[in-house]
Amino acid sequence: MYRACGDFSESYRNDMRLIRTRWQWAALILLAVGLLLYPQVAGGAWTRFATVTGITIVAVIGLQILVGLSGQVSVGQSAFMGVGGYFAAIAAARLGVPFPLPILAGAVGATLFGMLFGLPAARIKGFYLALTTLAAQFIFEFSIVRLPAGWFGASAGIAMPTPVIFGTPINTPEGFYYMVLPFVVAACFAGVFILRSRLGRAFVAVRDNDLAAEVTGINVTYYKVVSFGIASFFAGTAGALLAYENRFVHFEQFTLFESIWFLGMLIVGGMGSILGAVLGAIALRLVQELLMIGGPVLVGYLPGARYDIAFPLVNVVLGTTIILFLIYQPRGLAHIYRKGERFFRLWPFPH
Amino acid sequence: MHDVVAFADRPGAGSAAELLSVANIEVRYQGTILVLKNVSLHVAPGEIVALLGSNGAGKSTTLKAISSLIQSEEGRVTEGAIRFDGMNIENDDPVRTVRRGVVQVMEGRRALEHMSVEQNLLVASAATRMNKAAIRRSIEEVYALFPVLAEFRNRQSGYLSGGQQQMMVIGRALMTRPKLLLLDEPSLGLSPLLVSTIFEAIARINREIGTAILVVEQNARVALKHAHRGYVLENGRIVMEGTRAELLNNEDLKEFYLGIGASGSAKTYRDIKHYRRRRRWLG
Amino acid sequence: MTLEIVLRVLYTGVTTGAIYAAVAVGFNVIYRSGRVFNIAQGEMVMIATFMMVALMGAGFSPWTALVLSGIGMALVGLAVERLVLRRLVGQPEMALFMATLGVLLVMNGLGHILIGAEPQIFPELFGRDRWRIAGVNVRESVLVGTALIVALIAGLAWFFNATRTGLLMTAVAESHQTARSLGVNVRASIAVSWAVSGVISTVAAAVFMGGRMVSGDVASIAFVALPVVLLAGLETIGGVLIGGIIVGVGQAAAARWLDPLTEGGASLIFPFALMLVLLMIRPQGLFGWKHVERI
Repeated sequence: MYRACGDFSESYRNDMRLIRTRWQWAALILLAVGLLLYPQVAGGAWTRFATVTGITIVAVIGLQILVGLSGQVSVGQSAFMGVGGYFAAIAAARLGVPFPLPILAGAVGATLFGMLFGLPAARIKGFYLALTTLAAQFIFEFSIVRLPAGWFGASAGIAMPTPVIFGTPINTPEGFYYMVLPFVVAACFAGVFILRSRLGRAFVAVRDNDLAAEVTGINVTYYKVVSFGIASFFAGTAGALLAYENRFVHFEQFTLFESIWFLGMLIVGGMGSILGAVLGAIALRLVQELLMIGGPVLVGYLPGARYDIAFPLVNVVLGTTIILFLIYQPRGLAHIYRKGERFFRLWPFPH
Repeated sequence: MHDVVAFADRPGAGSAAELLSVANIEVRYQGTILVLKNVSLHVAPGEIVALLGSNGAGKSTTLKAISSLIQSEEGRVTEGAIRFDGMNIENDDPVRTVRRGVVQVMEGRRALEHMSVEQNLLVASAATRMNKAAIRRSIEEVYALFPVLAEFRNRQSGYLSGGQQQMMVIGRALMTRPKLLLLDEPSLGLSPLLVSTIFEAIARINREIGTAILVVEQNARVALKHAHRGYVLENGRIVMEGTRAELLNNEDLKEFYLGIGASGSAKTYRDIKHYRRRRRWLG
Repeated sequence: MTLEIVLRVLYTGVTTGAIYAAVAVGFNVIYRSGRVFNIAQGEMVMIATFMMVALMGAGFSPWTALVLSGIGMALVGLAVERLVLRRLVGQPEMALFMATLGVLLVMNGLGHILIGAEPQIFPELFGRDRWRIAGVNVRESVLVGTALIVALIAGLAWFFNATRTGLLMTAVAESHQTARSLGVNVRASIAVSWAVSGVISTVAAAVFMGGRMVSGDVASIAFVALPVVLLAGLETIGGVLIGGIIVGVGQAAAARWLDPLTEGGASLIFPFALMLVLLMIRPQGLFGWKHVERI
């Protein structure tokens, strides 16, 4: 971490502090105020966009812990999110559990499902493991669609009840925004704390050389399964939030493409940092949103093009972005941000 | 001892008498990590040259610089020249280097584990553009040199013993019809008896086929038994060079590489200090 | 009567298994040389399908369209290798895998944008006869297509084990550095493998698509074939046939006897479940290479 001149640590506690200078406090307060005021300025559509982006951030931070920190590639994050959504929906709609608890149910359900798919990590490595997480996606989809409709609603989905907080029903974009915001903030802090904890260091050891980690006395299988569990906990939370926000769950909200986009967000944002996960999620969601708005306009200028061009266009642009980042900026936006920060710290007197 | 004279000033630099000449090369990994500095050495046709040195001295890097295999480890020769047969080959395409007649046997017996012994040998004929009959003849030559390989020709090479694998990879390198064979620690992890078998085979290759050999070794005793000349590399620099007789009689080398003390087996502090001083001057 | 059912299950299983094997071998050819798991393999099949449809629409005979598409797909494969993967040489396997995810998105999007929406049926290229043999309804195109795939895979297996170029490519599969040290042109091997994989995906598309509706959903065949890849092992060539038949027959059997009980879910989940169980027992797959790790 980059530190200001004259900022010394005199104790361990001091060294672990996240916020060190008055300027950082100022920036944090400014950010908090900005986030709180955002819906008042943005209007309905962009508030919804921010809510969905926030939910994405929660899922992507989970994936960052699995991929960026523990080095286990997963293309199943969207499926884990879906499991969370369905668990929450069953708890809320079928069992009538009151508001915040279905989210916990979703998170825990996804964690169990995720750990199940982390178990093969005991024996399988690399691609093989990544591809078994792909199996998670298919098992999720097929189970929803093919099992009796009484179980998971099959292809009809399950409707979510309106969440009620302290007697106030939440049914406006602003309401959902304020409902999701605390979860996003909590996810960011949880991510940072995991990164700096003993657990985080074990993950990194497993990522960098699992054989060496094993002989150092780290129980590699345990940590791999735990990292799957943590990633799925985040995914499950995100899935449950999305279920509330969308007011229903349906398996088509949780496709393989979403999983790939999540990985793309990590690449664009930067592997191994929470900041990277946040920046990547915001950047790619923004690109997606702009294309969804701009796509139909673009179609007007393309002779013979069809009107459902927006979705494939998103894929082309995101795919190209992922490839370009891998080739030219493999450390992602977080690296660019830090370089900028360093530049402006010294600017305008670089010497 | 090695005199510090720029290579270009030395008479006979790059002359026809030298098959390989490495002139003042500097090697860096990833553009920053300096591994070799001012390393110069030469190999004449038909010669066996030993390159000695401790771990991390830069022996393997020297070989990989010659064969250009450092490229796949993001290494480059950043200064100096490597000439082979009158051509500059530093930072060349490794495949072209093999075609020119320089082949490296890498450290640690890199068998193509899932292929049979014979398939291993066949792969190495790729660079030569030989016809089928010529390939067949080459294979039989390798089998004549290492009869044990003929016996196991159809066995999956991953299941050979360490010694057999070492023979196979040397034989495999010969399939490229090299003028210069670069061997990286052929004795690694082998029993003393096998080590001498391998080195006798190396000497035979040199005698019978006339292949020049540059061999990197930790086991200085065995290497100097067969080599005509030798170099000692430390901390990325050549600190000593000489003929076999010169090296075998050198007090420091005896002390530190052959393990024979100058005064019997007693190693005195003064000897070490004297050696350290020399290392400092030259290194 | 029961024999008839068993025969029917075998016929369905073997013919679908062959298609899985054809797709799977496309993954393996690339993986062996470049150590890249090309997750966009299904999109290659999709592009091949669209290419054939476009060429046939332009008035070419089906066979000419097949050959031209084969050439076209070889070029597509080369382009992906040249534009994306060659620029990532030396990066960890994970980065290469992510890059192919990017390729998947691009190809999938382009395929959907460029191809017309009119629904049409892909012609049966390999004959239109229907027979009834021992109580099983047999289609000529399926039989010929299956034979073609078996021949293709057998040919590839022979190529990699017996021909000189094939041996060189197998050496590349073992170790890039060792192959390079012996004068094998690793880059050329990788490029060739992408071209070959392009051709394979064309054949797979031609056999699989016969009599089906043309749509972008073709790409998902790769994910259905994935269990075959992992079951057989990533380095094997001939082994995918056996893996394909195991999965195909198992799936057909599940469809016949288990699906009535589960509303059709069992046959879809079966390949993935089988794959997971087998990988726990044998992580490198049935015929994949086991790499000994030294500490």
